[in-house]
Amino acid sequence: MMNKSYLMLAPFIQEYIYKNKWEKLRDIQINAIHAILETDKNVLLSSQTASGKTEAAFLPILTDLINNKVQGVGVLYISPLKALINDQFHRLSDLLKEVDITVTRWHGDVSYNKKMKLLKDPEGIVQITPESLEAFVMKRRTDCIRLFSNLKYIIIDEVHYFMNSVRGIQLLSILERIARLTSNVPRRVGLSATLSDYKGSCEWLVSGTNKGCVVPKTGDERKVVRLLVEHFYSNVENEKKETEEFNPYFEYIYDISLNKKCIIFSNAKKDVEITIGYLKKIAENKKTPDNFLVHHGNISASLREYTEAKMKENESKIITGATVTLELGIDIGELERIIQTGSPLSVTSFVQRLGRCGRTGQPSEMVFVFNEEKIKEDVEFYRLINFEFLMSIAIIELYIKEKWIEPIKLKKYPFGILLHQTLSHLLTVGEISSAALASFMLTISPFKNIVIDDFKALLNKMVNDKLIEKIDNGNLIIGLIGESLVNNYEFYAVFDADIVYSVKYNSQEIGSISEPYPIGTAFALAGNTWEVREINHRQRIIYVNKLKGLSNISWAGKGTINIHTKILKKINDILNNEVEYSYLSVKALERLRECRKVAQISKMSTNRIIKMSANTYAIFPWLGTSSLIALKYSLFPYVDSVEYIYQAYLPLGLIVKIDKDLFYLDNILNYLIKANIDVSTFKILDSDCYVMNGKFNEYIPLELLKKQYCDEFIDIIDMQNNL
Amino acid sequence: MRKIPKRIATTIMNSLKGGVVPRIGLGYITVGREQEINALLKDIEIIKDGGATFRFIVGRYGSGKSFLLQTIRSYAMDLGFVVVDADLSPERRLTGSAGQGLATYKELIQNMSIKTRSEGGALPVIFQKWLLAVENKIMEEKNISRNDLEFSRYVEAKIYEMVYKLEGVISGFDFAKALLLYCEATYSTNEEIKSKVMKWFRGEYQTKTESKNELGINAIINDSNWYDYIKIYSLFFREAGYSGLLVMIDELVNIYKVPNSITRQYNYEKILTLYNDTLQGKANHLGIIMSGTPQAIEDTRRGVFSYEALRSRLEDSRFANDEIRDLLAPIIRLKPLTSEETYVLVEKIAFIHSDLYEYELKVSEEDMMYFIKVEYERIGASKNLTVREVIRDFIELLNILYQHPEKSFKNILEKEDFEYNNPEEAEDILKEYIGFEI
Repeated sequence: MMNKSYLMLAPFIQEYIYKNKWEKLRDIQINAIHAILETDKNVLLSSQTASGKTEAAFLPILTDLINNKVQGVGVLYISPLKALINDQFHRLSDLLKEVDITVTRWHGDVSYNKKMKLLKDPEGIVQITPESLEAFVMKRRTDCIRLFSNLKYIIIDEVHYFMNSVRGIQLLSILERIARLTSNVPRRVGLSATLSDYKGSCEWLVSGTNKGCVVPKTGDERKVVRLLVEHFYSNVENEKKETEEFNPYFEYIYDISLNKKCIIFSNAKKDVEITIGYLKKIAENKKTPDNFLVHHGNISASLREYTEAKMKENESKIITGATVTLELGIDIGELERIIQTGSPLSVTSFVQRLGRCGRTGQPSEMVFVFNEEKIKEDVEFYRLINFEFLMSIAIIELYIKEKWIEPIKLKKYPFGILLHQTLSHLLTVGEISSAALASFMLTISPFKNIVIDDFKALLNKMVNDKLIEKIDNGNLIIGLIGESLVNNYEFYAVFDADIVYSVKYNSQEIGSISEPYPIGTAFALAGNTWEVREINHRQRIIYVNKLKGLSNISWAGKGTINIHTKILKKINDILNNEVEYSYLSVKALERLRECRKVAQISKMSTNRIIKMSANTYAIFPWLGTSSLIALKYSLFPYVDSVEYIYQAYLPLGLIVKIDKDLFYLDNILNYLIKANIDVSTFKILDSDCYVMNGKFNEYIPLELLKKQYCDEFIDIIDMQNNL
Repeated sequence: MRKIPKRIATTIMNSLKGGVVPRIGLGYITVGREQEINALLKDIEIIKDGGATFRFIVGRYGSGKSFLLQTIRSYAMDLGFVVVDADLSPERRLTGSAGQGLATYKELIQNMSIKTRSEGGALPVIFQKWLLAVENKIMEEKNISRNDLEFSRYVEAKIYEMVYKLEGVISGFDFAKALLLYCEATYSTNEEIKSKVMKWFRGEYQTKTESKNELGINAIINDSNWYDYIKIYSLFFREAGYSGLLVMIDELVNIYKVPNSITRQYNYEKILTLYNDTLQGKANHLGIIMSGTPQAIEDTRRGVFSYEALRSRLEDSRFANDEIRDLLAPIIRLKPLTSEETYVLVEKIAFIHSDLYEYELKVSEEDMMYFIKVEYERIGASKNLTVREVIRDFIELLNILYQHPEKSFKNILEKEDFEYNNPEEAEDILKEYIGFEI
């Protein structure tokens, strides 16, 4: 089998394998050779980081390219990151030294001359980001037809990332637009590290191609994982608060990262800065080298590239503080340890981060570190439990014991991307009738659920907002406001550039944060805890109330984070059982015991409803974000008032006011499980819609935003199944 | 009605059936427009006498702009003009960062027409004719023959005389140099150089270096100077014995549609240059006609009128209105044909059709009235429906009637399966989206 597969490859590749002394082809590589060379279907290659799936894709594809030369570009490689492109570029150049196939990088940092060379002589492999591809289709229609009319393969790297991102919707749309422009539907080859939901992933990959999908089997290559969860109270051992000299939490991080090449992941950029700042100070005091770097979205591209290059150097013991930006598979050399402050936001994210570590045969090491101030004031009982800490345990349990990862939920109503793609398409074609536009846009697969009336409402608002205009033959062109949008390079990206909201308490400005938390959310800023009272989206101001007690947990990530019900159920399970998880440190286990005790006394982990005071009840249904929202809207007609209880981004439950007893409320809940609830009867608050991320949301009719909100943030079925 | 030559009748029918304005025989099917045509013919007189003119023709879709332009075009050719015309498009503007201005120039040169070359490609013919005329003049003036030893010297002197005249104007030196090269290549029968010089005149050299290496001319026609060359052509054509040069640029809406305000401004600035040149006497023997829809001209946000300097120059006289039209103003506004005028047109076409296929016309006055009524109800129903589609329907009816003499006009029209012509048919629209409007 191995020999047969090897012989199917082009001679120069065989030579390359021989020269580089590969002992054998891995299972995934063998299976990929057959899938790519012996079928004409799309191929999804999924296996863990460093399992050779990039080679698995490229070896047979290059073989095909050598054996069957095509006019124009043969392979389009799409990656979410420029850094990944640069990385692959060097690996490919190495492989292609001996043969006559050109690799061209096409993104913002590539010189004009190199790009012109490709336009003059289009051939070989082009590596590109979705944004650069967008610009290409928008501005170089004829070149696009010339270059891609015989395109054979589209390789999409980091498929799992794209599937969960609006950039993925954009990418699918662009690919279909190119396919129609060139009357050519190339095969797609998807590469992914973390996938559980093969069916959903295949569906995503093949959409609009009509080609089906094969998933080559991976070998059973097991990886050893070492995990540890550590916990600190910052105000227990030491009565002095916020001491400059000694902070056991940062001392600990310093100790476990010393002389190790590692990444310290945090969920918020601010936390990265604080941690690295402390570590630098400690290193200075202890006279150890300053090996600390940062990598997140606010750091300039050149600095990030410098960090990546530094980390790649083999012997360097670099410690990098990072956010989600380092989650994707840039080759950053062999890491010895991953440190995580706080909990990752999903199992998927945890698996990505874990995968960054221990590339060749070594165990993956990941240490979770928590730090909180012990609450001494008299507060609601649930504030005494650190749910983020419990969430990290839940995530570990779900992945390690149950091999569970969040399933992919495709968005049914991506109106923002539809608007973006409509503008982009209008720029490509110049002028088009409404009917032809509808016929073109609504048949692109990510938009297939959008009905014509909604599109009409969208277009009408676009005309009103001057994004587009109708000329006197009835056709549509880009409008005056629209042209200032499309002529700005920021247009190509569908994700939001950084927006800053200023936080105000009465008229006093407290500081700024980068995302609007939902109303009612508590968060820490400038040493105090605040609760969101009101948000002014136009002026980007968040008005807050002051809360008692301190919280070290800050909201993280962009927009509304959707935590899966399974994680909440697991947290409940952890509170109820007696298991002493082996990866918990002594202090962490102690903290878990405390949490269990609070839960036990309050009965919050066993009783669905807890009476807080007269007419006020807390409901702890252990539901994920979108199910809890569904419950809130479902309860709305039956109670006097209903509010969320969040701890940071974690949906804990609801506070309900009703002039009835507990059994009455319980009966309502029982009724809701079986009731026929119609989401369209919900009176969605305008402010809920504004919480949704979306660069173009201000141009979308509110009614459509509500529809989108219902699809993305309200899950009645899951709520009924889990209540 | 007078008899029409078969060749012309065939062209008229085929063009109208295909929805385009015929390039010949327009006189046979012109209705109305006397005032407009007269105003433009006045311009032609002025140009012939050495002046320069500039006009905008403004009319809605289907008001007959292209028809009017074609009419003027053939008049001008008859009067000894060189005519160049081009439709603007997303790739063809007056100026642009990716050679969109030069593309328009190329299109103009490609469509260069004279009476004996009415379908374009007249430039080489004009050069040949000019050279021949020079030779004849010398033979006449000096009373010597072609074989005379002195002949070539005289020719050379005459060519230089011409060249000196051109050298005085902007870019004239390079034009003259190219012209000299052309003459030399002709006399030495060097076809290679000749075709390279023609390539140069057509604006197809991409770099100065290339032009310098191949021709020794250190200049090329490009996006920023093409209009200078148009002015030189107008001088040269006059010297070569033509009445002048008429430039016609249609579909100005393509500037309106450009999704970039700065690019639009640059293009309107170019129009201003053209306009000022003609008015200030910087150009001679040159007429420019541009045409577009009311929106493309008068919209103050992105049309021609968004360029303040043009708006103030072009805006209507305060005294003109729908009744009193000022046909000396730079903008000529076309009204759509009335149903009466359309009736006259339909009648003319019916006549030409029966004449062409040699049969007895059976369509009655009443039939035609009925047809016009039906079609005008459709026009009321759709903004995009124009006389173009009406005429296509009518010719289709005549064709069916001619092949099925047993049927009657009303029969066919009232049958449900008669498919009316509709605009938009070229676009790709799935059935379920047909008729979608916002």
